Amino acid sequence: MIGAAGRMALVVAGLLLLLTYMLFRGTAPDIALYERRLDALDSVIFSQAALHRDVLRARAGLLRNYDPLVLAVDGLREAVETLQGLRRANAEAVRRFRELTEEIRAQESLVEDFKSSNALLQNSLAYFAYMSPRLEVLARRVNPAAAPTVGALANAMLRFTRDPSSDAGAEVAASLDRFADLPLSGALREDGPVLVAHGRLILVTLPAVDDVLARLLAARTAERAQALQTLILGDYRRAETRAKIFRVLLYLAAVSLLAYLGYLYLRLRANARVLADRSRALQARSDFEHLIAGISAQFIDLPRDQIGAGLRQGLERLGRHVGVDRAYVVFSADDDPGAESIYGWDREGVTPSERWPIAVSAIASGQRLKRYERHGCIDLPSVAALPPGAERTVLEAAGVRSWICVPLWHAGRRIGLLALDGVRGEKRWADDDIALLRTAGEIFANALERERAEREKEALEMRLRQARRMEAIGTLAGGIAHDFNNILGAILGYAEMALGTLPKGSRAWRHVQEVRKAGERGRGVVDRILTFSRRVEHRRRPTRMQPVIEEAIGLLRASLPAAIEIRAHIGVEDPVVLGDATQLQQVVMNLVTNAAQAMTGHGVVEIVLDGAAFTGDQVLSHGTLTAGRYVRLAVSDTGHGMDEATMERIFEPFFTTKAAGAGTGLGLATVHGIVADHDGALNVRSRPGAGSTFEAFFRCAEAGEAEDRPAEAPLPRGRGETILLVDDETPLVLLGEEMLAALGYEPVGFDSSARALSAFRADPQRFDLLIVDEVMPEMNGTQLAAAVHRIRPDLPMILMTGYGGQLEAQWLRAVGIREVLKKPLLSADIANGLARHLHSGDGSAAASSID
Amino acid sequence: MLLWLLSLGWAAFLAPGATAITDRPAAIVGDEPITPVPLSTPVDPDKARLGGKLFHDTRLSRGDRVSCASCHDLEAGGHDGLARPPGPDGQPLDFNTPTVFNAALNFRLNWRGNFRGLEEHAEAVILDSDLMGATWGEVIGKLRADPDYRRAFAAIYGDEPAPAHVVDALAAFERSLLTPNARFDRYLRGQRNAITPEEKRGYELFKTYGCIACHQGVNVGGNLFQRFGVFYDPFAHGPVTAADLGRVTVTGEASDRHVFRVPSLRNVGVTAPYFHDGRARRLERAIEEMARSQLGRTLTRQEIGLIAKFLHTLTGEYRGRPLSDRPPSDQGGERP
Repeated sequence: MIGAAGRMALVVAGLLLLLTYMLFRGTAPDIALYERRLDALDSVIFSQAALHRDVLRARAGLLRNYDPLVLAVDGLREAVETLQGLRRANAEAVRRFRELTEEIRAQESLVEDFKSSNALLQNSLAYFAYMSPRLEVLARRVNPAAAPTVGALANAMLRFTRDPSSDAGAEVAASLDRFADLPLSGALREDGPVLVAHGRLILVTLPAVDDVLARLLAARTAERAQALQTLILGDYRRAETRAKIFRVLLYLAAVSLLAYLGYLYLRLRANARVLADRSRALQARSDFEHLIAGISAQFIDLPRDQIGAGLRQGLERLGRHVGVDRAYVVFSADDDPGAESIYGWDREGVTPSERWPIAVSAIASGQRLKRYERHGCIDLPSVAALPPGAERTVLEAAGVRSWICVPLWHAGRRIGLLALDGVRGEKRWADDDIALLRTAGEIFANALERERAEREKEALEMRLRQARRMEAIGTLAGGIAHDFNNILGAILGYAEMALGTLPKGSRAWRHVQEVRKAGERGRGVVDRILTFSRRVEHRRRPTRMQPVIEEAIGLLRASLPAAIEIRAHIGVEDPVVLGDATQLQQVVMNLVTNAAQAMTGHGVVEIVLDGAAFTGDQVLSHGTLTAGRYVRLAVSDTGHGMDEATMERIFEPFFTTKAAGAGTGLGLATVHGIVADHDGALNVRSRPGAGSTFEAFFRCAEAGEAEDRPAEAPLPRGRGETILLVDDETPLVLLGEEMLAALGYEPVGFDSSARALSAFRADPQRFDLLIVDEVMPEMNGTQLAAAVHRIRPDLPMILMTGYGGQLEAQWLRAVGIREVLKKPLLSADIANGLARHLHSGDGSAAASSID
Repeated sequence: MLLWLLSLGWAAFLAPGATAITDRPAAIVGDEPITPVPLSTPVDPDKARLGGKLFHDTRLSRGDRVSCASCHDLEAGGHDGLARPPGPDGQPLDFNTPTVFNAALNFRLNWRGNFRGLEEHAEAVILDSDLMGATWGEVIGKLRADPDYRRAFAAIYGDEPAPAHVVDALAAFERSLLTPNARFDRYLRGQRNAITPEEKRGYELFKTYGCIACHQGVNVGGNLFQRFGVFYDPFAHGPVTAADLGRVTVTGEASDRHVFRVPSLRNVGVTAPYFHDGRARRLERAIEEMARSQLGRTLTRQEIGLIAKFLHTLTGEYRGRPLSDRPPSDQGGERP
């Protein structure tokens, strides 16, 4: 760490050094400084020129004072002072500057010499010029001998001053000597030596001044200054070029640093974003986990009836949290595809899809989405990305844009699914979220399983209660019925006897007749109670269900209103049960009748016959089945249905929803008794307003039992014998006619005993047999039979009766009844019965049948 | 904006002309070798004020003994009126004290011209053990102890009192010590009757006899060196002192023997005594001496009188008042 910091500090220091260096080198050369130097050099040139001019003027006597010379020298000195900075410039400039400085110093010294000498010279020249002519005049006047000497001196001096280099100097010197040697007098004696002294001074000073002047003028100061100027200018340009380069470098460095800064900024931002994302993701994960925990806690100790609501609430929380638009659980019912429970939540504004979750089950279990599995879930982040196919079509039809489906498992069994739809947008799932989703699925599955387990437990308890009640009722009713049967036997017996003794048709006879009839009805009721309480012994034999049902349907079609349609779906298999055909048929009849009554005049009754195999115990709504193969008879109606409470008591005797007097309340109780007697069980599914389905399960006959079944003999057929059929119920007459015709007989049906009797009287020989219903208004079956018997005693007669009750055999024989057939009529019974009495001519069969 | 630039340009164009008008009077008489002292000088008044205070402050000397003004009496001719001022030991020093008036117009300072600038000269005087004998440490210490000085230096130099600032202020003050408006200057500026005919006659003699050869320019001298004793040796009658050797003691050049800076004749009438050693107490004596040794002449008394009269016209004004003479006396001897 310290190493890194140290390195960083080094880099920063290095960078700082580099930048400072570049800044220093990049600074534009101080143009003012250069200009000052160039100006100084200009000033040197100017001062030099002024100096040259002024010394010449001074020498010529035109310049009257030396101030300009002082000024010029000061100018040169000032310039040198200004240029002192050049000492730090390059070697060439330093050398040239030093030369210039030396030169200027030398010049100054020359100027001082010049001034001093020139002052003397000028003074002496002035004096000489003033005095020599004057002396000459004076000499002529006072000392004529000296006059020529003075004149010669003046001339020589004149020549000398004009051309000091010539030999005039020598001449002046000679003249001076001559003049000095002259014996002077008067004023000349006074002024003569002065003139000589000045002359000598001129002689010495003038060449010296001219020499100084020549040296001054020979000075190359201006040229040197110019050369230095060129040099400085060149320096300046080079410095500027270099500075420009460094400025560009500095700029480039700044740009690169800026770029690097930008890059750092972007990296920082990216890092910050990654960190923020990570923290958000962690937060989201934590929130999600929290939510799952919350949902889980929500189900703890939740009463069973609130589990559904809890589930919906959980789905909403889940859906809202993860931001999907629909969340639902489809819970498959056992072995019942069509009976799934669906719990769902739709986001506000998202169109709910009623049937959609059902469709989901199908595509979820399909194989085509296998490859989208992630952690056991089907994850379709984008439905649009799916290849075209049924799945995509289905999903798109439901408006789903992204979809995730979590299968729900319980005890190794797939029990449903949890699915989340993205409708408004697509949703992508992280692996961890999917894991949490699976946890949520498990919570839901457990809740559902718990709910189901509790429901089953409750159902079982209810069945137990029901079974006990039924048993209690059965025991009670059976006991009572037995007693009633004996009582009714006494009543009927005594009524018969009374009828025998009373004059027929008398008022009392008719009363007793009514008593007997009421007794008969009571016997019917008791009979059914006994059936319910399973007090009636029945023969059990392998019975094919199909013909039983077909016959019953045949009978029912005739008896039910035309607006009620019966649809039968008979399985291809022909199931055989160990039982009593008549009782089985009664089950069908009663269930269908009940179904028809549940519908107000019109509707569809569906009858399904098929097989079912159970590997384990099955708890049904009414009863329990052990494992095995069963025949299932299902009767569904589209009627008003019923509620739970009704359903629970539906098989109890005397329990009826119909208006008082409209039914006995024994129909379904009888069904229950028969089914229970056959070791079967009943299952009822119904909802108010949605119709009902009654299912009766009968154990399939074992293979051995099935073998006992007699070979199916073809039904004996008639040879066109004419059969007189009498029943007060027209549909049954029609039904009977059809059956008889089908069996090869010629049926003649009447729905009135009176009309049948008159028809018989009209042509007694026309008929080969009479089938008559016992219970008819005006004249009942036996009465008609008696009347016919009196006309034609040999005519075989068969009595039909809907009651299981026993008619007095003796009485029946007395009126010529050969056989009693239980209603509803079965083709086989009729065929066999007719065959017995028409073709065999053997009365034993008849006798045996009327036991 | 453009107008402003134009006016600026116009002002810049005008400025040199205006300066030329004041500095170079339109009616200078003929092409005279003497030029008038400028009527004004470009000096920072604050610096000059501070310099003036320092000039009169004895704290610039060791032991607060003397100030610049002790020898350069501005009430008189800017000098001490002595032939040679006494040194610390009471013995007279080598040279006569030159006047401080118009010193700024001299091309070199002192008799030997051994100083070029007023600043270096001021520093040398302060530090010279014969003169003020101070050290910078001492002087600056004293100045810094004075809040007034601290304030003044801070205001002008933004700094505490320091040697460079002290000599700068002193130099500024000395540059302000010009004496313009001498009668002769007025004459030069065209005022014909500023000088009397006698005085004019003296001027003519001054020129004719060659005095003008050395005593010319704005300061009437002070701008060249010259040997003392061209035609006659003034040192012939006594022992030659070191001071008499002149500039050679500065340059070491043999040709500089007895060479002195030509003194200015401005205010010469009020700055007696004369010459490097104050050997001439009276102006006439100095004129006579000069004529003899420098011009090889012997002037008549009348001629000397006329020239002296002319020289008196060179007395200028300081603070609007003509410099006044101070009766030649030995008072200086009483001074510390």
